[in-house]
Amino acid sequence: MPVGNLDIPGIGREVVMGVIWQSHMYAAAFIAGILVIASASEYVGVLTKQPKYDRFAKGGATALILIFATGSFIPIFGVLALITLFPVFWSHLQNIFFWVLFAEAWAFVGQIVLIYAWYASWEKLAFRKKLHVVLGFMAAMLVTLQFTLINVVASYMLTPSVGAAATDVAATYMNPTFVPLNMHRFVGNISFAGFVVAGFAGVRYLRSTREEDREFFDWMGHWALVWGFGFLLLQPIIGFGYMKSIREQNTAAFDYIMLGDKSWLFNLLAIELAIMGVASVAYCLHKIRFAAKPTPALRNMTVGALWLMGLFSLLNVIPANMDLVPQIGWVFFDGERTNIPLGSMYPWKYIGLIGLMLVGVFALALYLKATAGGFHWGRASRWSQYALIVTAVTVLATMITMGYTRETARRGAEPGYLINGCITLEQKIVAAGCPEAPEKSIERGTF
Amino acid sequence: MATWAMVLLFPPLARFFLGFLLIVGIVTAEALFAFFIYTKYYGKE
Repeated sequence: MPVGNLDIPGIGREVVMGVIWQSHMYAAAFIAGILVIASASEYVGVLTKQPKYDRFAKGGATALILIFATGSFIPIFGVLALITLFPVFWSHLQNIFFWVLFAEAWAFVGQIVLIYAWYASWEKLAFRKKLHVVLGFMAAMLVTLQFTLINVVASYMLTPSVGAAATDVAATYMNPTFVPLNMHRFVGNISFAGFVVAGFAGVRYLRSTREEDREFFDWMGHWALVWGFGFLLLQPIIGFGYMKSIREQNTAAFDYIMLGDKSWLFNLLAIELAIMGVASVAYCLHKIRFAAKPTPALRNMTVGALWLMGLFSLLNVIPANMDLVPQIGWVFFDGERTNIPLGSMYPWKYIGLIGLMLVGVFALALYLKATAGGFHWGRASRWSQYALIVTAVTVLATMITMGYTRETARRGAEPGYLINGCITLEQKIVAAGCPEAPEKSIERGTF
Repeated sequence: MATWAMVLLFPPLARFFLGFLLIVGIVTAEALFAFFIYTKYYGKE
């Protein structure tokens, strides 16, 4: 019987998995992020009594259910593909995480009920707005729970709980990188949805002809960018915590993605961060010109912040050595042995990342201070909207870079694993008592 | 008839980019389909 040995002609089953789950991730991350942003916006609308927040939230809810409906076929197809192409791996994973996946399924049911109820009751509950807001927040919490549950599975694959039996639900749930991954993705989803909506608003602003629409989409781009950029600024420190726990628990994976053949992924990430950071601060700088109260001091300080953001971003982008992308032959001079000045992690990347965060928080704080006095909406230039569109396109690239990085990290330890140290990419189980495998297999010399 | 030799017909780099193109295609199709539904059934509010 060919169980566990089926493949897809041409591209192979691993690429098929990557395609399915990366495509799904876009819909899922957007849904998770926009639910938080839209439900919070609806509540802000209740508090401030400004109708634009409600219009924004309703638009978010419409986009949410459309993406939910059209995107749902991908994970269903993905589970079918997992059962067919990776039956040994999937049956083990289903056994280890029966309760987690069971809860996931019910969270999915609850999520469908709540998000559609939230959308459909918008007018019916117009006079019971607080109840409606609660519906939105409950849906946001449920989708966060669903993300949390799938993060358990994803983090376990990279760092299984060493020393715990596979049947120990609590130990497998609280595997070493679960908490940092969960934090990283929660914040990332909000930032992702924020930037995507900001880009969408930019496109709509540029295409709007009515003054009312121009005012709304100008404001919408600003509001979405505050979410996108604000949460992005948390990512370097949370991401650092995540990388630290990977280094401690799966050194081979860390070396592979940070120092080895795939370290170009983090150079690519640094470029993407640079584009998002500079474009966001440039947008803020531009908008400050339209503050209701003239704020030359804030503007001058934001100009300084933009320069510093560029400088710190540049520091992050410099590679450590000339072994740039070995997979496509970008190895120059002596490759790994040719170090580039200012390219090392310590101290330069630390300075770059901390600087990027501090400058970003500073620029955002200046911008919010200017916002407090009000803006003249609907007068933004085309270039400011292009900046929003650039952040949206870049965040799409960033999500795929990060997803690929986490999954390819399991190739770090030879011969490459589906569950690190337990089940190889060829679905061979390397040791009995899978979650204990790393230690036991080291003793046996099979690791 | 498909043979095992066909399984990894393309080299790793080509598979990487083919996968990338497929992701772009699927996500674009999904977004366009959602937009089509929106303009056809939701746009007249």
